[in-house]
Amino acid sequence: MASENPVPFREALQYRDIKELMPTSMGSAELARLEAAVRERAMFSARTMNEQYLQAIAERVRALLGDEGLNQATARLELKQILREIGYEAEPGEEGTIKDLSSDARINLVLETNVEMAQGYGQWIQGQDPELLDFYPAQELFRAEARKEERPWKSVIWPEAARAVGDTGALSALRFGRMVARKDSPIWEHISDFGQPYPPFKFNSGMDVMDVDREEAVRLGVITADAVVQPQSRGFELEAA
Amino acid sequence: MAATFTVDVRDASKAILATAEARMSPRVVNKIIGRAGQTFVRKHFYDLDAKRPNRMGGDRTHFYGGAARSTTFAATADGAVISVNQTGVRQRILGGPILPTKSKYLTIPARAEAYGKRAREFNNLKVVRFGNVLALVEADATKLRKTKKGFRAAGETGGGVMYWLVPKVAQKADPSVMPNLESLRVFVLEELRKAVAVAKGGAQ
Repeated sequence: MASENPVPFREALQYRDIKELMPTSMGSAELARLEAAVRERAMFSARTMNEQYLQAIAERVRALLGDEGLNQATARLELKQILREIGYEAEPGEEGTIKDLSSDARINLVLETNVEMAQGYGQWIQGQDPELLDFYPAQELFRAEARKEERPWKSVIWPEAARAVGDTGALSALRFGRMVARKDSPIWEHISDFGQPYPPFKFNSGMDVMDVDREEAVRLGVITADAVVQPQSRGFELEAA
Repeated sequence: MAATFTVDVRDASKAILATAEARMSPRVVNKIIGRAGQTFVRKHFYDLDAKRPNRMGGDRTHFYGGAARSTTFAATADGAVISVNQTGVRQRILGGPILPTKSKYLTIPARAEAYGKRAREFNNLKVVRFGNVLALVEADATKLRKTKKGFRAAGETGGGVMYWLVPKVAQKADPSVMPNLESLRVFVLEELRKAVAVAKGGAQ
C-alpha cells in the first residue's frame, strides 16, 4: 500500500469549486423548483441569507472532500461557532428542528448532501468516459446504507420511473430483482428529487450506484449486445487530460 | 492522508494483459483496471459499513460508507492507482499513536449519545476527576416538563460520564480495513477478460 502519491478526487472537487454562493430566503420547496442546472452551479441552503456562513459551509465541504484532516463532527462544531458569532438565533418554536440552521439535523444534512453530491457527480462523470462506457454501459441502483425508514425503491419508485420514461430495459432487469438501467437512460434524472442523474437521488437516501458491465447488461435485457450508450454531460466538466 | 492502493496486474497474468493490449490501447486497458479497482474497493467499504456499526449504538456516522463514496482512481503507465480520500482510513489500517492537536486531552465517548459529536457541542459538561482518570460529566440539572401554566420539575438529571479524557491513544493496526489486494487483482483481471470479449465484437 502506497500513500506517497494519493490521488485527489478531482471531479468531486471541481463540482464543489464551480459553485457560486447564492444567499436565499427561499425555502426548500421553492428551491426544488429551480432548474437542476441552476442548483448545480450554486452553493445555497434553504432560508440562509448570510454569505459569510455559506462561505464557511463551502470551505468545510471542500475540506471534507479533499481529505484535509477535517471530520464531520469538527466541521459541525465550527459551523455552530460561526452561527453564534454572527448572532444567529432560530425562530421561536423551530429550535432544534431541521429549520434551525444550528441544529445537528440541519448541519448534518447540509454537509452530507453537499459532500455526497460532489462525490456522486465525481463517480458519475468518471463513468461517462466513452472508452469506459463501451465496457460499462449500465449501472445498478442499490442500497448502500441502511436507514431506519427505507423508501420503497424496488417496489414503487423504480418501476414507476421506468414506466414513466419508457425504459423497457430497466423493467427487464427488474424481473431479475435488479434496479439496472443504461447510463444514458432518463430514469436517473426521473428518480432524483434534484433532477440530477447521479446520487444522492433524495435527501438521506442511503442509495448508490455501481457499474454493470456489458455482458451483464445484455444478460439482464437492459441493452442489446450492439447498443451504443452515449456519454452525458452537465456542461461544466473538466476537459480530458 | 488518503489511503492509496496501486493496482498493477502486469505480473499476475501476462496472457490476459497481452490479449487485452492487442485489442485495446494500453490507455484503455489501464482505465478499465482503474475503474474496476475502484468498484471493488467501493464494494469492500460498503460491506464494512454494513458489518461494523458503532459498537455503542446510537446514531451512525457511516464512516466506511464515506470511504466508499470518496474512492477515486487514476490510470497510470503501468496500471492504476485507487485512492480513498476519507480522513482516518489510513490511520485505521496502519494504527499508531493518536495525539490531541488543539488541547491537552483526547475525548473518548463513554456512551452512545456522545458518539460522533465533539465535546464542545454540549454546553452542560464539567471536568471531574475519578482517582487518576479525568472525565467530562453532565452537570446536575432539574428536568422540566411543560404544563399549561408553565413548567414544573420532573426529576433530576446529570452526573453521567459523557467522555473520558486521555492524553493519547495507541490505536491498533487493523489490516482488515484494507481490501484484499489479491482478490482485487483477481477481480480486475476478470473484468479485463470480459473487456477483451467486448473488444472482439460482442459480449459473450
